Amino acid sequence: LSFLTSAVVLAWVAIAALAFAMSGLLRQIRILTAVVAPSGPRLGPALGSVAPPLTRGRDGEQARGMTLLVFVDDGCQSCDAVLERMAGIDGQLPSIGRRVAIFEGHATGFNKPGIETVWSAKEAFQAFRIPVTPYAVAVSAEGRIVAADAVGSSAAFDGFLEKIAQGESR
Amino acid sequence: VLELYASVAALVALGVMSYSALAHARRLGSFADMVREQSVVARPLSTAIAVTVTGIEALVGGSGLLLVWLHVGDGAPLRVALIAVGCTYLVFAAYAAFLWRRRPGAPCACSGSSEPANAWTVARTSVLAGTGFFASVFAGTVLGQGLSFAEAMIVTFSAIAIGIMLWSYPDALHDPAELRLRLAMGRLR
Repeated sequence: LSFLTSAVVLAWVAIAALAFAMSGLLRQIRILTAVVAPSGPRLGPALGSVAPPLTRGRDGEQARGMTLLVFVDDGCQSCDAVLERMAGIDGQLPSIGRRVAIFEGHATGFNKPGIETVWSAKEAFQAFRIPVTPYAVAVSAEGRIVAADAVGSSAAFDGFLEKIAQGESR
Repeated sequence: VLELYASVAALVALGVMSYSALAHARRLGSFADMVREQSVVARPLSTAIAVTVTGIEALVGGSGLLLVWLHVGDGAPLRVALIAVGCTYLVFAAYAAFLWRRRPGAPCACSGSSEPANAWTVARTSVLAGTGFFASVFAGTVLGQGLSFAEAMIVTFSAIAIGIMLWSYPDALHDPAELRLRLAMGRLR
């Protein structure tokens, strides 16, 4: 064995050992993840499923295009920022036909043109399995959930809108 | 030099497929559950699908490794096994791409992990298909007489290293969206 050949053998042994270490670390991360954030049923509504009705009875109006739902709560600061942002996208995203703000609690005096509001929507929160507020859900014209994510800031909300826009382009 | 590449490619494709069969066989129940959760095939079929996929992996991967070990004939049987591995991975890649695009959130059941399929899953499965097809072209030279002991060592260790890394990619590079959500929830509640 020449020096160079042995060196190459040694290098590959070392790389294989590193790969082993990496897979061991990944296993540890998986275990730590299960401890820190135990996985239960998947959070939020399942993508592709039929969206549950927002309120009992009246929800019959057919939206032209997508419906953007934002689930918010009183006493959550980031909710106001997201609602503000939602009011600001008027006309910027032509695919969104309807915008709805859904409040878990009672009236907070929120009133923005172009945004429908639903108050005291505990049932809708349960039906959509909303884990945190603010939480955004996009429902297609056919009534299926196409995107759902927690939007903790107006920047996260922008990211969510971008995701919807990309989803349409493909 | 080609025999080095062909040997590594063959061992990687066959080794990862055999290991995948082992991993699936060890947790056949949860594999079937994941297939059910993907809701692509009819629910009653999911156990049958899980068993079939595991069987195909074991048959194709295992027989290929055995053929490399035994050096049967001029490499023609190994060529068939490697083409079969390539085709199987091509089907897997197409399926992973479908899951990634159409079933976001559904467990991929790749690498024995319950993470959803992502771009890396599709990429590494395509790479594995490519290595299978590439090696099949030079099947006659895989770990053949032309290699010295040291060269065979290099081939084996690099195949192990590359195989482990390809195996780990979907697990290592997925988007921890679900984890972020759960952590955010833990903070708020």
